[in-house]
Amino acid sequence: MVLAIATLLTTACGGSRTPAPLPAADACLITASSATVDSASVVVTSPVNVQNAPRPTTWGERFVFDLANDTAARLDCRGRPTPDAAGPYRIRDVGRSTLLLEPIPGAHGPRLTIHSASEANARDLVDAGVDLLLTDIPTLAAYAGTRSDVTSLPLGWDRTWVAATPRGPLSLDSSSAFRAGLARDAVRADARAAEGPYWWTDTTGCDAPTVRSALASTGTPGVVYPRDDAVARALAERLVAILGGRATAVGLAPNAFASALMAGSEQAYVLPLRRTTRDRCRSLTELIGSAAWLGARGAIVPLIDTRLRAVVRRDRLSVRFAWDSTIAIVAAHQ
Amino acid sequence: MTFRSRLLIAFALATIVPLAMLGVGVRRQLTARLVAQHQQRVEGMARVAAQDVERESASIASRLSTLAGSLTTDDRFRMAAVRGDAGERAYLLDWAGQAMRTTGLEMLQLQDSAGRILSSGHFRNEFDRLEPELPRALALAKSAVLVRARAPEGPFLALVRAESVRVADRRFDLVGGVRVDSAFLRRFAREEGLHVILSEARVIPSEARDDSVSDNVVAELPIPYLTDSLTTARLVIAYDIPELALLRRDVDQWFIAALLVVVAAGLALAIWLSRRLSEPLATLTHAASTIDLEGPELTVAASRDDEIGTLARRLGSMSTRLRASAARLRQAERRATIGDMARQVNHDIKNGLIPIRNVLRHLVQVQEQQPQDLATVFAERRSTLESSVGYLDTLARNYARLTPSVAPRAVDVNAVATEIAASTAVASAITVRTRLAESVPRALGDPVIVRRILDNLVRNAIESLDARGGDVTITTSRAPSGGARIVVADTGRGMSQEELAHAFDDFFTTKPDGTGLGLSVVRRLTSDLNGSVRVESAPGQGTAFTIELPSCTPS
Repeated sequence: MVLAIATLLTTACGGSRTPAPLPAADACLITASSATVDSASVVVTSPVNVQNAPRPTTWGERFVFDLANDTAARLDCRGRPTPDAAGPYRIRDVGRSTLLLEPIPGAHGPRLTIHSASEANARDLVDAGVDLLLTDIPTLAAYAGTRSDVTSLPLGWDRTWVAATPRGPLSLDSSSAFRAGLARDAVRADARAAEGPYWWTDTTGCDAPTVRSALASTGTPGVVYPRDDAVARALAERLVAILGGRATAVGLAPNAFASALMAGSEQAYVLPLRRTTRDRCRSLTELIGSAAWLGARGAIVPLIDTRLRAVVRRDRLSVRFAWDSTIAIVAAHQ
Repeated sequence: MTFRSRLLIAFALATIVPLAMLGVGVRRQLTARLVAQHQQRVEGMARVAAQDVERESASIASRLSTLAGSLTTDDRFRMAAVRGDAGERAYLLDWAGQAMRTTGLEMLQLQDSAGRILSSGHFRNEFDRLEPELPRALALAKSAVLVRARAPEGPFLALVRAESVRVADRRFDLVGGVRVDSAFLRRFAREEGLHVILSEARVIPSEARDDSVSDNVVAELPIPYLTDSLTTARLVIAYDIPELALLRRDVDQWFIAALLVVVAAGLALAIWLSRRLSEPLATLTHAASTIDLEGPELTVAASRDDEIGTLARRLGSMSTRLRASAARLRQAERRATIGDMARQVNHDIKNGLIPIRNVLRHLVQVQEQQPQDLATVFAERRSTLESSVGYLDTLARNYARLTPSVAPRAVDVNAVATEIAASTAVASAITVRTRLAESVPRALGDPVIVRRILDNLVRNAIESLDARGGDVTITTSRAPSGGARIVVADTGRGMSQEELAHAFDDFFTTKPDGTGLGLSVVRRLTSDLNGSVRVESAPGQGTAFTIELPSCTPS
């Protein structure tokens, strides 16, 4: 179980939300370049660890691991197959936060050099000329969008950040205004108040999840979050500030976070859940499998929705919206 | 508790206690001198630490003042904090973090006049929390104050100051400072062996002390501490004096070495002495427990020239006196017995004479009244006379055997010994050797009794030899008391301790055809001569009887 996050980030299709405004010719197409490029550089401001393949723990890993998947399994924003999708790719880790992705024999698409960069390094890479920037940092996207040869646009709301609480809901304001305050003030991402409906609240037609472990009778006052995720950290710290008392924010590495989530001994867990899923019942089962106490007294409190921003060099790459409000590279635009 | 145990304990106390006192004394003196030597040094360090804290406080105040000045000209801050422009709210929320990074502060929060946190650098998402007491309390303090600040990961201690600034006629408070953690405290520990900790309690915390060095030097520096109210925390500077630890270790090692040597030597000496003292005492105790007034004399340890020898000699002397007393008692008893015997003899003789008297009266009566029958009557009564005379004769012989008469005179013991050896040579195949000293004095006694004594002892010695033969030797010499000493020794089978204990008892014998009277007679006859007899023997080692008789010449 490398994580509920992994499960929730990989589950496919059935998107219930409409993405941002689309070009007229191809409703899902973002940019359409006639150029054929052999290689392209991509920057993601998210940690990427190929050791976690095929189950991503961050949105950056999800983007990279999707490129390695069979193109036949990929769908566009309308849920149709994408025969012109780039890939599938073979991933090679070349170190220093850089990955090299090559199309497998017979596959189409440019070779991709993927940089997993911090905000500061991402600015340097943007200045050096990057073909695609994917980021959840609005200021970075704004800076990158100042170049004249790029198209900058927000992607769809693809993740809902929740507080999972083993011992019932936290004593938090449940109003939309509160969640909007979180989105506006607590995080630096492109965020809004979480909006339903949420697939994890609808169990219609699904088998009742089985509770596989008992919950500890007493917990520790930690609000736990995935260590490498800035949004999760900001939300956890805000919850600690609001809850007061002995509450503390505790950042854990992916494996440790998964173990802690399973144990359910902390006060709350801040984690992202995908907003869309192809198979709601399977996602529910996997969610309960990663935190069995959710099937008992546990609660999931939605906090905010976030989305990524993409900055694409128009003359270099063709990209389109995918089924889950994320982005997909097109091998060659016809 | 045994004498030996007491001796060992006494030795242990006599050696270990002074040595332990010496060791403890040396340690205490060394400690006191070194501690005194370092106390001033540590107090000097505490003064330097106080200056450092003051310098840090001034530095914090300076940085806060700079930040306050920059706020008055910060338009984005004005738009967010004064006008409430939502577009600049993110700037306001991030302002403290940015300012903290710029100034090097580790705790910084900006509060409005109501105490609401507008921006926090150390806890970015703590905005909007009300904390009006902190700036108010800090405003009263003239120097930096220790506070427990909140952070997402948990509270931490910070040394903080406050600064106020007015923007658009509204007051804003800046509270900022540095984190007081182990890194902060290490700045004051400029030397090896120096430990600096912060104590919020009233007593010096245990972590400031090294348990292995109980006398480490400690100095304290008070720092204002704001909790629910303004109290005082203390910066505790402890110096464990590495030289002291080394010195103590050396002293301890030498002390332990000396202790081991002294204990080993003391134990060896104590064991040797206790054996030397207790073994003769144990032997003497055993000998004293087996003292027999009729047995051999006590001679154990009598040759020693120390207190034990004196004790042994006095015990022997006491034994001798007891023997003499016993002899006199026996003499008195014998006299009493003789009196009884005399009465018995008188009675017996009277009983024997009565028939004779009656026969004689009868014969006188016949002679006067019937003279012609005298011969006939005499013949009839003759047997009565003869039996009565026979009875008296037997009685006389029996009494003669029972109480030999003693006629004290000078006895040449060498002559008696020579005569015994010669007569034995005729009657036995065993040769009796003699070693006769010319200087042996003449004994006061009876030659017949002395002969009987020697005759019994020589016969006893010959009977102790087995079929392979052996030696029997008669030795004469002058006794230490001045009398004559006669030793009859054989190389026979010897006697066990139990046999020795009963050797002089009446009717005690180990021989199938023995009467058990030989040695008993020897003891009795020797006693009659006011002499003494003792025996030394061991199984397989032969036996030696020593007779000492008083000299006929008073010494």
